[in-house]
Amino acid sequence: MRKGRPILGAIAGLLLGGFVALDLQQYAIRPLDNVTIIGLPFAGLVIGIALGVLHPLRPGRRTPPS
Amino acid sequence: MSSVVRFVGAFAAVGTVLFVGAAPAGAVTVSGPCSGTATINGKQYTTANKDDASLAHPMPLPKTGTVTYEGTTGGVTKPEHGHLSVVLGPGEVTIYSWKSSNTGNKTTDTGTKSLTSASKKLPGIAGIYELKGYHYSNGALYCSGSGYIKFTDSPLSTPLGIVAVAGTVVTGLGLLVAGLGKGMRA
Repeated sequence: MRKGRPILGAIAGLLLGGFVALDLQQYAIRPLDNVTIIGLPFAGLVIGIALGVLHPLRPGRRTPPS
Repeated sequence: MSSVVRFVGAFAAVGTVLFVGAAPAGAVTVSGPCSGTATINGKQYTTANKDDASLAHPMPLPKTGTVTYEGTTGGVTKPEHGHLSVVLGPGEVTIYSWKSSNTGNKTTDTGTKSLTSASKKLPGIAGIYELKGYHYSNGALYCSGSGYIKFTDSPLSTPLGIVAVAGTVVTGLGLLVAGLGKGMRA
């Protein structure tokens, strides 16, 4: 049985969205407008919480040999 | 690894929806009778061409060389003042301002600035910025405009660029750990 990490997911997702916004600005793809500076961290927050609650990346269960 | 791909795909999908749904106009905009040109190292940019300094073709600002500018207000503005600002999310940061009583009733201004000395005042800056300009006559907004500028330095040559890339990697790993959950004994 595995337990979720929603707090870690929320913090990591929020910060990842902010850093992705900064990457886009630094690499001259998109300036720091409302969409990137607010939208991407918000999207990261939502995805992070979902990942932390659902933890869908857990290693696959091994089936016992019959 | 397929679940990792799904996670990356979900993040990219949300980002794409956000970008398509709220993409900025991208072109140079000028409101009012003002117009102007800037010539950087021999290439001229003008407010008459909406593709100059657009989001798709931001005006590059190299570290060396000169910029020759010419601007006209299309009429006498007095007393006049204005400023240039950089857009940062919902706010703007003023980076240059001017003020004059304009007793000579000037309607045009020309000049040359050194990019080399300007870049020394702005070390460690890279990337794209939306630049907005405002000109006021007798306290009322006379004209305004916006466009995009791009500093041609490599992001990895600036502290902010290094922090951005390193932060993306570290927080990306944090998100992966969150997606893995933590093991518990049954």
